[in-house]
Order: sequence, then C-alpha cells, then structure tokens
Amino acid sequence: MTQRFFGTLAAVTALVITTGQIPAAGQSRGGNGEGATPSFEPPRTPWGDPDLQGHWLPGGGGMMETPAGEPWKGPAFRPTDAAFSNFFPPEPGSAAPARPRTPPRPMVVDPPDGRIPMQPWAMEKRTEIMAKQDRVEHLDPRVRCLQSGLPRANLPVGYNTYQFLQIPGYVVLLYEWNHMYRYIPLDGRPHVSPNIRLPMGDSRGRWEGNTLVVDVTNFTDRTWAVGHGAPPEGAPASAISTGHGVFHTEALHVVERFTLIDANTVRYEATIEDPKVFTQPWKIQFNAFTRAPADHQLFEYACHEGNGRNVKLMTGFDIDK
Amino acid sequence: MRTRILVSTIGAALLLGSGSLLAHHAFSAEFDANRPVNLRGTVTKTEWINPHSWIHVDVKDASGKVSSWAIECGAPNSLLRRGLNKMSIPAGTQLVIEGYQAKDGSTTANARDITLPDGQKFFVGSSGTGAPYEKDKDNK
Repeated sequence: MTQRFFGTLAAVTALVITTGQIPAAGQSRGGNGEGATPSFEPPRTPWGDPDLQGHWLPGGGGMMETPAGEPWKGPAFRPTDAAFSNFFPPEPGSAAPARPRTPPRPMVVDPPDGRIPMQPWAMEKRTEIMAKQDRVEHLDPRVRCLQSGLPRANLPVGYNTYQFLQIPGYVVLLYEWNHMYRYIPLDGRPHVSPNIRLPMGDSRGRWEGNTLVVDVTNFTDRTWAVGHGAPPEGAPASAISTGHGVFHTEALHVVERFTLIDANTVRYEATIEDPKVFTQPWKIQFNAFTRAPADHQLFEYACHEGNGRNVKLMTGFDIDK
Repeated sequence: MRTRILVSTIGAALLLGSGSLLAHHAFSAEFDANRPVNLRGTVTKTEWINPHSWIHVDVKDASGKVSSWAIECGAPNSLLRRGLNKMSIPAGTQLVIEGYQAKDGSTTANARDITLPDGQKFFVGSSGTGAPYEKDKDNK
C-alpha cells in the first residue's frame, strides 16, 4: 500500500513536472498533445510489444474545432483540477490523478485552420441535423444508445473510462460507456468483406515503432465521426466547436495512432476520410487517455434501461405508468 | 405511417416540456447558474439511470406547503465512484441539496452537492455540460 502510494505519487509528480517543461528540439512539449512524438521508452509486454495495458480515464481534450469564420479561442469552460478529481476520485491515500492538460488549440490539427473540412452539401446537411435534434431521425445517435463510432468513442466523456488489454497478436479496448469494445488483431489479416457493416468499424492493428496503428473500415452510416461535450443551445452547426452533427457514409475510413508518451498518458491521433462528405482527409490529435488510479474498475453502463423519458421520446410508450 | 407521425408529435411535445429528455444538453440550455438553490427535502424516489440519475424530493416551504422537486445528478457510475449507490438514499432520507434551478422556474434543479443526515457530503454534478462547478473560478 505504501509502495503503491509512493509509486503513484511519483508518477503524478513526474507527469506534472513533464508538462511544465520547455522542450528540447524534436521533443513533445509534454502532456498537451503538442509537437513531435516524444522519445519515451514504454514498458514492454512479455512478448515484446509496447505495453499500453491498464485502466484509463478520459484525457484533456478541449474543443474539437474552430467555429467558422472565427479565430481559435479556448473552450467555453475548462475543467478545473478539482472538477477532474471530483469525477474521478483518487485512490484512498494517494494523490489525485493530475488533470490532463487541455491543448491550447483545437483537436483538429489538419487542416491547419482547425475546422472540420466538410463539403458544402454536407455542411448544409449538418446544419439541418443540428437544427432538428428534436426529430428522432436526426437525433444524436449516441443519445439513442447506438454505438459511438470512431474516433468519437475515444473523445472525453466524464462518465466513460477505458481498459486496454493485450494478448499475443491482439489488442482489446474495453469502453465503459454502453459496453463498447474493440478487438484488434495484429497479424495483418485483411478486413472483413465490404458487405459487412459495423457501427464501430472493423479494426486491423500493427506496431510502428512504439505506436499502435489501427486501420478501421466497414463502418455503417449511422454514427457521427466526432462530437463530445455539449453544443450551446440553439447554435447553428457553423458556430459550434464541439464537433456534433458530423455524419458520414459507409466510405468512412479512420486510421488511429496510440502512443504512450509517458508512464501515464496515451497520445491519440486519428486521420478521418470520407470522400463523399469531406473535402480532404483531416486529422485530430490530443492526449486521450490518462492512467486511472490503481483501484479503478469499469462498471456496467446501462444506456437506456429505466430511462422512461428517452423511451417515451422514441416510442411514445410510458414505462412509468 | 400514422404511428410514426403520432410518435414524432409526442416526441416534439415532450421536448417542449422538458429539455432534460435528451442527453447532454448544455447546462445553460435548461438551468440557470444565477438561480442557486439550497433545498432541504425528503427523498420520495430515485432513478439510477443514464446519462443522469434523478433524485425526487418533497420540499416543505415555510408555510408548510410541500412541493415535489426533481433533482438531476451525474451518471450512476460517476456517483458510484464517489461512494453513492442506490441504497445510500432510500425513500424517506432527509437531504440537503445544493444546485441550480431550472431556467423556466419549475421545481427542477441540477445538483452540485448533496448532504446526508450523517453530515456526509457528496459531489453529484454532471460532466461535460458546462455547469458552474466545472469551470475555473475566473472562467478561463
């Protein structure tokens, strides 16, 4: 117990010190998703792969994109250190998990203006979707307890935590929210048939140095690629920075990169392309995963069970009667 | 076809009544940070559901009139991590609730903290909605 306490304290202290450093050339600026891939040497699994295993809390995401026609400014609110440990209490006797730093820029790093590059017709449709959230057919699919899709599943949500598992030849990602999971083979097998459509897509992984690269295809068209936090009430799609309403087609293709940049932080990058919806592939980057306290476990997240309000909205049936 | 129109109509009507139907509205869509409340009430019912738990309490005012308040809290797993579960606050429990009232003045509030009869205080806020308890003091 004492050993674990000091180990955790040391890890947290190291993280805090690291994020305060001015970087040497070519090094990351620490915990905020900036700069080049750092040279941290990760621990290894017994079979020699970088070890990303453990429980993880949501990282410091900030805002997805810059609102149209405006310069970048920070998020409408920035979670406090106290708030983070309110939502994720520390292990008794140990230091609180350090609040992941919010990057001073949007999650969208390409294109450089920080704006999701939607085709004009797609932006019109996105505007309609966000204006008509009271219609079930436009309603945020995650509100309907459909799977999040990608990269959305990896965006910070205060009640979603993660567990990463590794066995020889596979990486398994468990998501607390709505029982989601991803089973990622590393043996180079091809994707499943294009006739098969999966809300979380079909993942194929490989290691490039210390980075897990995951190629995801075979999506449905029933998820949103991104979207986290809460958009301001009544704001048009062009004015929001949360990424809601970004629909896609079955042509969606996502390439993810997971890199352990220090003992307690996994940097996440995703390149998103759908030539039917976007004008170009675009990329997000942020430190998506912060190591959880040692006693953390995933609990069941039952999405709509017992929620009479949502059941009534979607079916007209009153379960509370 | 007729059923679908009926469901959509019901859906729209419900939405007008209560913004809390849909997950993750912004805090400011439903609640007023300038209407803090400090309520003493007796639990009548709890809903341990996602994405927000709900505690229903009867609050007696100075004249003795009792009104029923619906108190929105965080997700059950978040509350569980802070030490609260559905057996912690059975019907009949006296609670002190600190939070923010609905913009429309109804007896609905978004809670930040609840205090149990033994003095234990629990943070029960919701995350990702821009609530006052999520912000830096200087709102940066």
